Amino acid sequence: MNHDQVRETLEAQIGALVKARRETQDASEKAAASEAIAKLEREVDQLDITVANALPAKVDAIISSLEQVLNAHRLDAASALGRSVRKLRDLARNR
Amino acid sequence: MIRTIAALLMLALGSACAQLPKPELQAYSTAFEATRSAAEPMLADYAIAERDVRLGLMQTDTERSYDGFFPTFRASDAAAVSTVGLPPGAEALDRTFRAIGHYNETLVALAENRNIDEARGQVSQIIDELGGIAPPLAQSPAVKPIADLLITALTPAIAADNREQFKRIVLSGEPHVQALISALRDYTPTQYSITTSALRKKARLDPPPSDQAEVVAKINSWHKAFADYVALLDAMKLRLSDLRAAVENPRAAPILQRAATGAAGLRSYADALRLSLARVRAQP
Repeated sequence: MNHDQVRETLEAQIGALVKARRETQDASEKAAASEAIAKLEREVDQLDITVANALPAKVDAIISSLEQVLNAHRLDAASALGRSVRKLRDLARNR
Repeated sequence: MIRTIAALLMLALGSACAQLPKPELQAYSTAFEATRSAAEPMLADYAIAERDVRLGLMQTDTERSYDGFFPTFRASDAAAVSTVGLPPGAEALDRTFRAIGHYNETLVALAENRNIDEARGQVSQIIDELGGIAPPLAQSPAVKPIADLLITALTPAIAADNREQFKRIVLSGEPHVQALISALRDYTPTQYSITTSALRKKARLDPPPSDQAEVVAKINSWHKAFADYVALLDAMKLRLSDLRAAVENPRAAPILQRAATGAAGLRSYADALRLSLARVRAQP
């Protein structure tokens, strides 16, 4: 199960507890359900923050690859000039 | 001499003479900006929610002995408590948008040959600086016209080089940008869960709060906003694929038409997302 499926399962358990709590008139049962709901809600938050903490490394790896593409040839004016002059010189030599 | 230079320039242009898919690029980059500006308020709300969720976890962590205050400080508390910068998840989302924006700006700069004017400026600056080293040479009335002539002569070659770089960056960079858009999309269930965490807890309170109906309505508005956001991301992926296809197959007119109509579609998605967010904010 991935984290999204785990979250769905936890939310389904919370939903069932909320329904059971709504249907009972017993104060101790209501209190027990509320306690269990709070515990499961905390688990969802914990899961979400675990995923949030993993996000920077995930995107940074892709961003790093993208930057390598952008920086493979320096793209500023000086390098554009240099590449053009070099290409013309090579063409002149090969004529 | 002039004929030789002209022949060399024609040769230099030979391999990269095909036209760039500027309409597709314009459509894609405009659509991206629309997406980013529409997603920014979502990110702002998400950042606040992410801090709140982190803080809530810290307060209920039995190891922290929270009793209205934290008796200890951990460096990791900064992610939840500090308002300097964004919390880690929000910061990563923001960085992802900025990276895609940088990629797009590079493509636009190459397509518009912006570096030719920059090159002209750099050569002028070099001549000005030469004035301090070799005043007679730099002050010669022939120097600046020659420099201008040099840039003018090289302009077609620089433009051809820009076209080559443009194609290289589209083809090599597109899979990475697609992966970044996918990362944004894959994160939406977590982003939604964190954004609505406090609202969901409130909606479930027993006895129900007096504003429960409004809280539920707000959660549903967020659900709609996230659906619009995902539609925008999906459309962006498609427009980027169109740009790649246009680079690989420059004469495919249907692709060009699709890019133009696709951009209009993206803008309407972006407007829909703004409307959804306005609804969220309008609710108490």
